Amino acid sequence: MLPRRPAIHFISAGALLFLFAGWIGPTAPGDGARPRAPGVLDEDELLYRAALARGLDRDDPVVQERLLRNMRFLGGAADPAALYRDALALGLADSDLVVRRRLIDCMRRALQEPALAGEPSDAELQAYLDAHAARFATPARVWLSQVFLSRARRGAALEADAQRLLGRLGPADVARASALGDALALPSELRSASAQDLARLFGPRFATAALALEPGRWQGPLASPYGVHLVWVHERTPAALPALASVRAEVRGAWRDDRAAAALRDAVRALRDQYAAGDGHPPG
Amino acid sequence: MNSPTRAARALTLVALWSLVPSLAAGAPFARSEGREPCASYNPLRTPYFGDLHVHTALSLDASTQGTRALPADAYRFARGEPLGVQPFDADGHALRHLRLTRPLDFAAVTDHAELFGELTVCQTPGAPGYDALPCIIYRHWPRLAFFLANSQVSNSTAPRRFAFCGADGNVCRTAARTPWRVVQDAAEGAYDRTGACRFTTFVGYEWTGAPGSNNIHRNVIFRGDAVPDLPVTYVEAPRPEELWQQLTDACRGRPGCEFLTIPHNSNLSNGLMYQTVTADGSPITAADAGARAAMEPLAEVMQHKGDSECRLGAETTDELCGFEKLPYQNFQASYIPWLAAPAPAMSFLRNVLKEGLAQEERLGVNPFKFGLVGSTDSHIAAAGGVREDQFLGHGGAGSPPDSAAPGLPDDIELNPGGLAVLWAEENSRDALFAAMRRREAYGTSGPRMNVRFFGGWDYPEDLCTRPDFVERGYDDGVPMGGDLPARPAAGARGPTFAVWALRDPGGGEPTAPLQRVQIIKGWIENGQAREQVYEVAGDLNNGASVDLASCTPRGSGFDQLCTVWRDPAFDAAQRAFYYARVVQNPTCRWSTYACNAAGVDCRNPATVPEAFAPCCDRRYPATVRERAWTSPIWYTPATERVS
Repeated sequence: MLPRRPAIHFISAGALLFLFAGWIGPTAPGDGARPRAPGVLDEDELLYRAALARGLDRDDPVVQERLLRNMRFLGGAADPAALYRDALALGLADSDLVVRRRLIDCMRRALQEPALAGEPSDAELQAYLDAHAARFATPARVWLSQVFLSRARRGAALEADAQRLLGRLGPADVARASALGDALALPSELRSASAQDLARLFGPRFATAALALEPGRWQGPLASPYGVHLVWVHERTPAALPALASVRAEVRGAWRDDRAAAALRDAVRALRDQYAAGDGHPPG
Repeated sequence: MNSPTRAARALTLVALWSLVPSLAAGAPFARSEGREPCASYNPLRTPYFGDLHVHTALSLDASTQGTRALPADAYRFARGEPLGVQPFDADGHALRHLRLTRPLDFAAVTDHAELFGELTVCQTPGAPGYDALPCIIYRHWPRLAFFLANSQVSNSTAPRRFAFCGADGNVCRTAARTPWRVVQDAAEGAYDRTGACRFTTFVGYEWTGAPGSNNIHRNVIFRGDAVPDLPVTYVEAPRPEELWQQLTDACRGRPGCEFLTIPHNSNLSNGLMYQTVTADGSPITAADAGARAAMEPLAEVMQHKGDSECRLGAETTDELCGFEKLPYQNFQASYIPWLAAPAPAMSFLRNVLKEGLAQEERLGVNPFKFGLVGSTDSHIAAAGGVREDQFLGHGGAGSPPDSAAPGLPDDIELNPGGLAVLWAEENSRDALFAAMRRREAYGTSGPRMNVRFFGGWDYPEDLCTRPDFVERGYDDGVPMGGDLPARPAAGARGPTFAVWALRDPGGGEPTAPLQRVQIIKGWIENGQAREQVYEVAGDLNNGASVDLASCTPRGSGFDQLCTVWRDPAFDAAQRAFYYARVVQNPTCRWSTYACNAAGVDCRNPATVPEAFAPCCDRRYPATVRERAWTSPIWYTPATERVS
């Protein structure tokens, strides 16, 4: 029977793994093998060490139970507290990817939590909305009708046909736009289309050109991948910043994400400074 | 007592008003949420492009590969903002970035529910300490660790909670609450509830079952923000029927809590994704079949881990089935090459659709009546990251994207994945969810083709030259995903199908013209499943090719293809389905872009470093014919039609 000595089990297991790793040959680097400047801890490593220093492992049932199970495998005392101490002493937390990920995530959350404690005021959200107008702005929209001429059908005559038809079209033709020109399985009228709506159907060149047209007359031809289009713009709506009330959830979410990210960035920087000052040892 | 009456009348009016656009479309969707109506509303529907299968750092198989992006980051990426991709430098800055040239219209983050508590890999039935090994091995051989870890819980046929989850599993379920909240908050934060309707999100997760290492994974997609307190995972519900039942129970009493499930990678299921027997081995009943059809209106036909439409040699001679095929039949065989075998016929959706007809003949109900979508299954949070020329790898079952080592960005047999396309009146949750339910959906292998597909009994031959193609399509028949209307009593001619495909209109990335449109028919004849691929439009031999050294396309193709096709071999007594496949001209596969960038020339072995050896593996083509698959339209003989 094997002696119930953790160190012997551990060293034997390690030797086997070493041989195994040698046998399977060099492989891609795993977690923790990222490029880094000498002497500088990468963010994950920093968070992991900080989590251990804060004792997050002692509060987390997942980490605890996992370490205990690993330790039981290696043998040892029946007393969970002693087992747990042995597990830490043997550095099992370091070698267990689940424990490592769990602690890094817990530490990340712990560092972000204070920033998310309070609810933002409406004034703060309004300021955020104003500062990120481009992200929240209601896009410019256009109401248009279009007459299509097919490249596949008209070939070399396409451009001349388009010019000829453009000269004949008048305001009365707007209502029967779908019956003019060539058939296409795309709408002949779009009531309220943004650049995204237009590009999805007609491509980005058409979208940009159509949004720049003046209302009230037939214009074009505008090119799409399918041919050319003569376009009548009924109405244009410029881009606008929406009222806070209608985008509150979205703005609140973005505000919180930014706050959390900034808090994490600051905290990681502070941790790094502490580690640097402490010569690589965990801050007290 | 005037005011209650007046209030009631006002409410009635509001209700009626809200129905107006819906009634115009002929198939109303009910509004179940508080939001502004969309400024852009088309009763004849618009194709919205999205990704219904995305993993973030909340999935252990993503975070252990260095993915740090969370659900909110995935949604921001889908809306067009840049995404930092591993590896990261010491200051936490990503060393690689990815950005969509065109934003998506919708997305669902679907992290592995079993990993929400980060517990999955802990399970070790009967093997003391076995659980610790994968994680140690991981440092030396990450892919083996991934396989071992999965085999412990997700692959188990009888998954159990760990002892440390407490007698009733409460500890682990509590641990899962935080990530589930993160998922919901991110979906809410990124959902555009203004009239601009720029982007729609769905709360979702992946139910990750793989008994015996055979993949039966399903994504659960919720209609709105009413969702269960916790996801139902493979641990609580190890069979799909139990998943549906427990989700139904969990939604009871929660207004608006509706869901559907989308199976993916039947190509890795070893034929077990769609079973025709229950847990005790007895054949499924009509009730079982009905439940399955109701819960699973869609299937993922193509994604990062390959194509699941069909396989040459598995009940078909269709040469276009040779597309993004995996050389193994389940997860285990992907890691242990000597176990690999060709995947069986029932691993492929076309055969499953045929089996559905056979089951319907037996039961009167078709259990496998699903439409088709694509998605990415990205494990780096790159929702909609489908460009062949910018592929960084999607991680997960693929190569760990954390690697700084030289070589291809992913395993040679994998690919950047596809997109889900939904035909809806507007870009809102209610409208898109209704599209999924009625299967008015199609999948693409990445490009954004616009594909209409209608079935009816008498579409005129000149429909493609008429301005009312779409109106007639709806009024005189059904769109993709539907059932052909009852056959007119007079006339014995076969059904007609109208298909109109427009090439991807582009948006800052290379696109290709179309090559052809095919209609694939499956039917049951004398108890035997049959199929036929019809070339209906375009040119099979248009001579298009690619200059492999520069990836420049050669030859011409079609900007649009339209036709009305009548089934020439219709037999009114045979149940059948029809779907369209739209094929682009060939373009470079992602591996060709990556191999070219590395200066690899397979004619000159000296230029091929060992890490790039897969570039010259002739089992994998240098080009792909990107494609779209529509959902089928079904025909049922008149005497058996159920109203």
